[in-house]
Amino acid sequence: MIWLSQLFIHPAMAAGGAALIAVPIIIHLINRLRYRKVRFAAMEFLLQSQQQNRRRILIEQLLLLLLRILLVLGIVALFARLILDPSQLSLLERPQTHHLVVLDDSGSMRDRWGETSAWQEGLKAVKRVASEMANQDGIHTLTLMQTSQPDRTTSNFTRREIDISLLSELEDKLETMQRDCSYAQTQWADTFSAIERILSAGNEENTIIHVISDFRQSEWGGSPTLVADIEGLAGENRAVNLIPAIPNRHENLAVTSFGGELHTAAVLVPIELTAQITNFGESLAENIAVRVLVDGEPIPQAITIPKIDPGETIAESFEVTLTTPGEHALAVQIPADALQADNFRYLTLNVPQVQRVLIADGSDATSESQYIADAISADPSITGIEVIIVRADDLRDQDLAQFSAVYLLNVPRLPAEALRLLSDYVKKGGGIAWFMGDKVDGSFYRQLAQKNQLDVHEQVLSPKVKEADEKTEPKQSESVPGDRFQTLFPVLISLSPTELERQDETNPGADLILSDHPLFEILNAENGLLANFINIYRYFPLDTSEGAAIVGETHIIGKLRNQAPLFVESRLGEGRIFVSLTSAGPMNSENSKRWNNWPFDINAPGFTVFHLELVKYLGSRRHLRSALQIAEPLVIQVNPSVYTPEVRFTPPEGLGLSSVVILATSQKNLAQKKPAAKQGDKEEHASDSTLLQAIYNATRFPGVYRVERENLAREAATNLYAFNVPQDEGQLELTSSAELRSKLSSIPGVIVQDYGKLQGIKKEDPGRELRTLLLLLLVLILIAEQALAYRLSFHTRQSGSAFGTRSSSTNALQGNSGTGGGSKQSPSPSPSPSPALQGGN
Amino acid sequence: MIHDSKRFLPPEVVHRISRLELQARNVVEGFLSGLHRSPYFGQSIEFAQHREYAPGDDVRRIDWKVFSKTDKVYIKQYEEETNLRASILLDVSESMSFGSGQLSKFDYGTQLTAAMAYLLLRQQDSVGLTTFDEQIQATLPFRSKHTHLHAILETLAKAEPGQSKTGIFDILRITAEQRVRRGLVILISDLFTDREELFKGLKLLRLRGHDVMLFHVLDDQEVNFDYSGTTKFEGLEETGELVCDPRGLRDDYLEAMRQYLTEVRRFCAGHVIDYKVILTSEHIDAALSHYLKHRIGMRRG
Repeated sequence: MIWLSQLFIHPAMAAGGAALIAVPIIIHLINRLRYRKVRFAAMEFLLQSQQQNRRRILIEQLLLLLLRILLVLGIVALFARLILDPSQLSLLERPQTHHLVVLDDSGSMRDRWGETSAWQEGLKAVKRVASEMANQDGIHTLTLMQTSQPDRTTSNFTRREIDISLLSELEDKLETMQRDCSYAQTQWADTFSAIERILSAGNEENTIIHVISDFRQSEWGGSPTLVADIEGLAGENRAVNLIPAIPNRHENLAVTSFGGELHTAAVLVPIELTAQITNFGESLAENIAVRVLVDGEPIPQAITIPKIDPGETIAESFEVTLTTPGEHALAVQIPADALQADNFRYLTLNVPQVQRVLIADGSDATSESQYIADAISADPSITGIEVIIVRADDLRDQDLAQFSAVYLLNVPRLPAEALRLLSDYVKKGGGIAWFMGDKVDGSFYRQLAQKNQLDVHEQVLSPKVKEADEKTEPKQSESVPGDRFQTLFPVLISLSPTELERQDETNPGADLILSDHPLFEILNAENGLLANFINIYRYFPLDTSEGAAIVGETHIIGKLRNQAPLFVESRLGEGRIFVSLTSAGPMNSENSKRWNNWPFDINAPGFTVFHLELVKYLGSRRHLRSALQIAEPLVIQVNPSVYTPEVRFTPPEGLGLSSVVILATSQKNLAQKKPAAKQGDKEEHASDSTLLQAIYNATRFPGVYRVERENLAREAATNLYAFNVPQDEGQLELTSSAELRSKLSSIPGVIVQDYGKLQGIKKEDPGRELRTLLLLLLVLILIAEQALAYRLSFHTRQSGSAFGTRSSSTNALQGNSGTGGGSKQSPSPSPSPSPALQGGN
Repeated sequence: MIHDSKRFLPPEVVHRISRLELQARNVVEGFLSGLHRSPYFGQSIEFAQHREYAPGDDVRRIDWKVFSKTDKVYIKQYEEETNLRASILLDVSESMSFGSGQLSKFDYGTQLTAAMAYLLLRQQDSVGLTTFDEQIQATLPFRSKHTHLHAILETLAKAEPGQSKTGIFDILRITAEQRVRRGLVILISDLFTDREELFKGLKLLRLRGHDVMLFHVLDDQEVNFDYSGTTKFEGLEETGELVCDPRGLRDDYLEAMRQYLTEVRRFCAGHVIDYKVILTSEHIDAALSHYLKHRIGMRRG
C-alpha cells in the first residue's frame, strides 16, 4: 500500500480496482467455455478458414483482451487518481505545485466585526485554498506557517499533499487554531526571509505563496519596500496570491502609551501617570471613559476624555497613590471596540516605603546638606524621601544601589574607589547632582572633565589604589581604559570660583537665565517670577582657554545673566548627572561672602520645589521595569548566592495557563542560545559572569506576569512584569485590493484577491495528476478496442461476403448457368439477399 | 398419400406450378413436342408420309383410300413422338440434412424433386428418380404416366437423410451406364463431396450425351455465414468439429466457398452443364422457372 500511495491519491481504490482486471479475463474464458453447438455441413471451408486464421485470431483475441484489461486499468487509474513523478515522465510539464500558506496572526488580525474576526476569516481562507487545490488537477502540497513564528512551519503541515485526509486534518487543526491568534506585530521582513528559506528547502517546480493578512496600510500600502519584497518572492514558476481577511476598516481606539514618574514612587506619595489614547479610526470619538486599575481594582477617580479626533493622540494624566510598598500592577482600560487587545495597557512597579537620597557633604560640619535635607525630607511621609547625610570621605563606604539620588555638595575631591562606585551607579541608572563650594578643588574637577585628553584614571589614582584596583578588576580596566570617569563631571571649570559682578546691590536684577527644562518649571512659572528673586554671588566659571569646556552629551540648562553657564545636565550610561556651578546652600565663605541667597531668603522661594523636582529628575531608574512587548523573552537574572535557581513564572490570570518553573542556568549557555535576549531584571552585587539566567518565552499574551523566586532562606520574592501589545498594532487602516494591485501591477505572477474570493489561480496551477492524459489514453484504448471488436465481430458488409448483395446475387444466381444462357434471363424471384453469391461473378 | 403429396407439393407450390404449367403448356404445344421430335418413325397418331407397299409391310398400315383413288397400294407412315426421359438424382446424404431456416436442404431437395417431376409428367415426359448418398438408396424407372407422380412422391416420403457421405462418382457412373438412351439428368445436391469425383462423374454423363442440369442446393447460412459468438461446429458427414468465434473466420470461409462455387460454375460452363445455385430460402418455382427458361433457351439456340 505504501508504494500505491505514492502513485495514487486513493490507493485503496487502486488496490480494489486492480482486481477488476480479472473481469475481462473471466468474461473471455466464460465465452470460450460457453458455446452453442451447430451441426454444419460446409465444414471443409470452415476448417480451411480456421487453418488460415488460427494465429491471427489468437493474436487478435489476445490483443482485444489486453485492450479491455487496459481499459479497466485506465478507468481504475482515473478514479484512483494516478500520479507520477515528473522526473520519470518528461511528457508532463510542471506537474507539482507547492502552496505555501502564510497566515498573518498578528494582533491586528483580532479585529472583530459581527460574529467573526479577521483571524477567523483568515482560517476560512486557509481552508478555502486547500479545498480549491484539492479539487484541481495535479499534485498539490501545502505548507502552513504563521507570521508570529516565521522560523518554523505549523506542526504537521509541511509540504503535505492535499488530499481528503489532509483536508479533514486541516479542518481539525483550524478548529484548534481559533484561539491561536497572537498579539504580536508581524515582522514582514523576517517573514519574507523565512519564506525564502522554506521554499529553498524544496525542489518543487511551481510554488504559490498565499499570503492571508489584513494588509494594513502601515505595513503594506505605506511600505517603501513592498514592491521589492514581493518582487523577491515572485518569480519564474512562483506566484504570490494575496488574500485579504478583512472587508473594510473598523473604528478603533487604542491605549498607545502608559507611564509616569515611577522612579520617584513611594508609599502614599501620589504618582503622576499618563496614558496616551489614540484614535485610529476615521470618525470622531467622544466621551471616552478611561478606567485605571491598581492591582486589578479600579481607582475611584472618573476619567473621561471628551473627544479624540481621527488620527489624534490624547495624553491623559492622573495621579495614583499607592498605600503599600512592594510590587504593584497598574492598568489603564478604554471601552471595547473592534480590536480588544489594544484597549488595555499595563505597567508594574516596585514601590519602596520611601525614596532614599544620599548627600555627601564636604563642607565643615556638613552644613550645606542641612538645607537640602530640610527641603526634600522635612516630613518623609509627605515627600516620600529619606535623606542620608555622610561626609564626602565616607562615600566609598556606601551602598549606592539603595539610593535613588546622590548629592555631592562641596566635595573637595573624591578617591578613585568612590569615583568608581559613582560611575557604576550612574551608568546603571542612578542620578548624581554636583554642587560647588569653597572646598572644591578645581584641579580635581578639571582632571575629571579632561578625561578625553588625559587618562584621568592614571593621574588621579594613587599607585596604591591603582594596584588594588587592577587586582580586583583587571579585565574591566583593560576593557575600558580611561573611560570609567568619562562624564561624571562633564564641564571643565576654572581652578577657582569667581564672583558675579553686580552694578546695583539694591536692585541687581535677575541673575538666572533658565531654559524650559522640567527642573525649572516652578521657577519659570509666571514668566520666571520666582527666579527673579534668586541671587547668585559666586560660582565656578568654565575654563574655555583650552577649547570646549563642555564634554560629551552635556547641555547647559541654566545661565547667569553674564551668559556664564550655571546649571548643566549630562548623561552617563543610563543615569543622569546634574551640575550646579554654585553651591547648594548659602555657603558662607571664608570672607563671609555667600554664594547665593536661594536656600533661606524668603524672597527666593522655590528652593524646596526645585530640589524635589531635582530628586525626581535624578531619581534612580535602575529598579524600574519598562513594560515589555509581548513575545519578547522574559529574562530573569538570578544571583546564586542569594536565590535558589528555581524561578516560577505565572502568566496573566484568566487565560487558563499554568505556572512554569524554569531552572536558571549559566549565562554563557544561554548567551549562545539567546544572544539578543533582553534582561527583565538585574541582580546587584554580583558580576555578570556569576549570575544565572532563567528565560521565559511564553509571553504571547498581554498582561502582568508574576515571577517568584526564593532566597536561600526559602523566603519568597515576587516581581511583576507587564507585557503590552505593540503600539501601532491598533492602526487598522487597510490597503485596499485595488491599491495593492496598482502597486504590484508591475510584478508578474502576483494575484490580489478581493475579500471572500479566490480566483485566478486555477488555470495557472498545473498539476502532476494524469487525469487529462488518462482520459486521452482511455479514449484511444476505447477506440482501438471498438475498432478491433468491430473487426472481429459479425456485421453486414457489402464487400466482404462471398456472394454480395441482392442485386449482385441475382446476377450470380442467373449467371451460374453452365450453358451460358444468363444474358437472356429475367430478375430472380429470390426473396432474400444472397450475399454469398456475389463473389461468384 | 394425400398427406405426403402436400408434404412435397405444398398447395402454394402446386399453385405456382399451375401457373408455370400454363407457361409450360404453351411451351409444350408450341415447342416442346418439336423439341423432343424423334428421328425414328413408328406408330403414332401424327401422319408423316405415304410409301409404296412393299412385301412384308403390315397390311394394316395400307391406306385404302389412296388405293381406291389411285389403284396403287401405299402404306401410311406416322412420325414416332418420343417422350423426354428425365432422370432426377436427389442427394440424401447427411450434409443435406443441414438447414438453418424452415427447410433443410433435404426438405428443399425433395420438394424441388416433386415439383420437377410434376412438371415433367404434366408435359408427358418420362421421369425417373434416384436417391443416393454413398450409394443408391432408391430408384424409380422412367414413366410418363401421370400416376407415376404418386410413385415418386412415395419414394420421396420414404427417403430420409442418411448417415453417409456423398459418393457422387459412383452414382453418376451408374446413372450413365443405366441410361442408355440420351436424356436429361437433373442432379439435386449440395455438392459437398469430392470435387474431382464430381467433375469426373459429370464429365462421364456429358460424354454419354446426356443433358445435365445441376441444382446446387445451399442453405443461407452456408453462403452468408452470419454466426456470432463462440460456436462449436459439428461437421456432418464426419468432417470433424471446431470450436471458434465464427466472426473471425467468416471472411476466409466465404472466400473459400466463393472459390469452390466459382470452380464448379466454370466446370459446368466448360462442359455445357446447366448449373444453378439455389438457396433453401428461395421459392422452388424459381428453380422451375430457371429450368423452363433454360429449355426455351436451348430450343431457340
